[in-house]
Amino acid sequence: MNIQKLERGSVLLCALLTILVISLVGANVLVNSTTRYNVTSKQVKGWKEALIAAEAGGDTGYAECRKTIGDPNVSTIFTNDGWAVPSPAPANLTWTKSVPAFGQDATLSATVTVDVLPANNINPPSTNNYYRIRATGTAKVMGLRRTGMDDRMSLTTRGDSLLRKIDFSYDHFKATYGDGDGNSPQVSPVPYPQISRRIELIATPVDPFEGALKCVSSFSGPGPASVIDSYDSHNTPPPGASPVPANSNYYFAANNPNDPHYADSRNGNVAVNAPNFADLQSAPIYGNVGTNGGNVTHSAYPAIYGTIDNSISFTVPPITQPTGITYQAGSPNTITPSATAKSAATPDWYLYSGDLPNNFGINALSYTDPVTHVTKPVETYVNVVVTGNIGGNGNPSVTIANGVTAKIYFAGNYSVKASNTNNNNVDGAPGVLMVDPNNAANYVQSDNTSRASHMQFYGINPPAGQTQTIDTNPGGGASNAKLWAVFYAPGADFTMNGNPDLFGAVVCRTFYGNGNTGFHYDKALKWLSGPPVDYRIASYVEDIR
Amino acid sequence: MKSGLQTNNSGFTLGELLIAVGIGSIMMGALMTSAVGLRKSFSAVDDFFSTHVQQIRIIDYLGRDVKRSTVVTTSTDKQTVNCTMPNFIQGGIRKTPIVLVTSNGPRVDYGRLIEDGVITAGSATLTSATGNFTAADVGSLIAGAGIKDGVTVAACTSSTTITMSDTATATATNVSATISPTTSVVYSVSNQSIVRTENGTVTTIASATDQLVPNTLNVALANTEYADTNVTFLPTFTFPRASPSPSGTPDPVTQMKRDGTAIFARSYLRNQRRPTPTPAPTP
Repeated sequence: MNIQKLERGSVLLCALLTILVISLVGANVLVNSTTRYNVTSKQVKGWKEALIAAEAGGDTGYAECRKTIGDPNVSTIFTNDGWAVPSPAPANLTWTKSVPAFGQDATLSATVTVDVLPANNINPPSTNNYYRIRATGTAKVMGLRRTGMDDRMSLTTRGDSLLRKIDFSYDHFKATYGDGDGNSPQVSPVPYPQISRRIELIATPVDPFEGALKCVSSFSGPGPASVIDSYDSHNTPPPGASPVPANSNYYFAANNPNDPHYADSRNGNVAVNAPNFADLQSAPIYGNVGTNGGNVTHSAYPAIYGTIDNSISFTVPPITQPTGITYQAGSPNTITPSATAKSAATPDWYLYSGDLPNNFGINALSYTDPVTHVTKPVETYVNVVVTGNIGGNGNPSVTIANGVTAKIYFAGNYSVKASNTNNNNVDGAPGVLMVDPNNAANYVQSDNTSRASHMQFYGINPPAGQTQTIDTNPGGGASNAKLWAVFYAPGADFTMNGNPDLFGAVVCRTFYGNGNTGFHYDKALKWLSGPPVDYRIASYVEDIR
Repeated sequence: MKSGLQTNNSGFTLGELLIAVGIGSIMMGALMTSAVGLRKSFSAVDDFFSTHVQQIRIIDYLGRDVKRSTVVTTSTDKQTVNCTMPNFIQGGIRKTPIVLVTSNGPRVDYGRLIEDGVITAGSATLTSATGNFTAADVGSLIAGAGIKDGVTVAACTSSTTITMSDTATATATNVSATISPTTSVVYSVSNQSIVRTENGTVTTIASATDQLVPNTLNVALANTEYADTNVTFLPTFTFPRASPSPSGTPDPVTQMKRDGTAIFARSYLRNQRRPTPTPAPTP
């Protein structure tokens, strides 16, 4: 008998065991790799993209807010663009919108809510809207609904979910915080693993006069003996300060760090929305300088004492002739306002078809105390529209009485010597009354302390191809005149020569200064309540819950 | 009868066995060496990867907090970052902000408003009949005309009087001011860990990184402020020892290993408030 022993069965077993071991090793590697890959790639990507989505939503809301510039029909603007009013409607104006899905494979989405901040949350009160923009951005997290993650951080744990809160099956935020304020928390399934991030932005209006000089096209600075600085007309000069012009709170403090108002003296900011900046004879500028693409440096302009930024841009909305106005009768040389002009909401309007009279003036209203029989001027609001020029031939003058706030719109040119531009208001408004905002029958001390803000000139933008000029020293010659006024004329070429001092602010197309001119920005103009020229994001917070 | 049972009992010779054992030993040795090496390599890669993930987390943490901060400062040794941010969430709800329009522009704070403040130049006392001050206000940011940037409530004397952390710059009545609680977040290195401390609550956010090199810059040309951060760690890969170096200088090989792991990030402060101009002009 021929017996053959075949003992090869162990080979298969060995092969299977080997495959098993290799598979276990491979699986271990895959599990580790996949977990790390998910964390570093998909989850980090989702985390960052969720913020991008939220900020895209914020930008959408911000863009809508900017559309309200110059248009009081805010609700119409929002609703016409597809924004919906939530139901039930909140106490404040509120709109919401879902941004269409975007990003790679449309994995990003955002919802935005814009509401107007309550008036009593703004100080001092403003007639302009302040917007709150809340945006939630959501990004899809690729991969399965499994984590292999740990929110503990130690030598043996990885803390994967410490920072990034991923909603694998349910929206953790809605389940815990409801609408964000603890209202109506609910378990809300999510269609796929996702990350949501929430931001809140506050958009505040940009005032027309937030800097000394805003030039659309170019700035050519004044001479070496001149100065561009700032002051705050709210502040009374300290004892011994000099020289202080009559009826003003200005004095030069920009070179004295120990001066109590030193900080207010260094905001003589100059901004040009173009590269064209030339401080021809290196006049000192005690403020920041900004250009849009210029090449301004401290080494080239050592007399610029603030910061320099060559990458700014800003918008300057044009001025158009006011419409829908009911004008007072006549076009007198000297205006005597009506009683309703005591309220800024109901100013007197006058129309001058053609040029303004050469010796133009506005009187103020007054109030006599029935007990003391003392008569004081009252804040008086008069708006004037001039379809022609201000000044020109002869020796024109513009005069406003103490207490008058004049807004003068002009379509032609302005050429009145600074010495003939008589703003008889006083910084600090001592002795000037205004109607009590809480009781129209009473009078209280005026809160408009800025002398410059009482005389406002608005240059109506000329038709395309035409130019508008503003000259504060027509005919030339030197003078020591001082002019308290603000000019908003984005289509005008502003010329300032001789040796006058201008206290206030200017927005123009081009600025040219020469000689011994001085330019002193009044920081109190911040309170000049006018329609905003733009909106700016003033606050950014993230809800990290 | 001759048996048909054939047995093959021929064994290996001693020489064959020795050769086989020798070759087997070499193969097993190589296999074991490879296995150990692979294991160490995998462990090192896993450790590197894991620590790298933590680096990214630190950067993301810092980026998020810097963006929403009003003030960010860095310690001299560059091992600590202090972030101050508004208390957006108070009592579980989102606080509606107060906008205080000052001569330096609108200022948004998540606090409460008083409108009858009384301050005196050179004095740190602020009184307000409607203040309703409590001890909980200590540490809150206080802002308003005549009050320097960054001033906080140092002490609460009564419900109508507080002491500020710095003196007022003006004498005034009916001052509008905001009292705003803030959140303090501190990032610091603790041994090989980096910890995040939010209002005293400590969270370890990374356990194997050992160097935080933050730097906060105020760049004049950009007119803004940002925080640069550099996070490194020492990988566990084995490198040849460096030649002896003078004492007090870091081992160049170790330094090279650490530098190779650096992650750099820059985050801009979205809420930066420029401080009052300092006395020194910077032409």
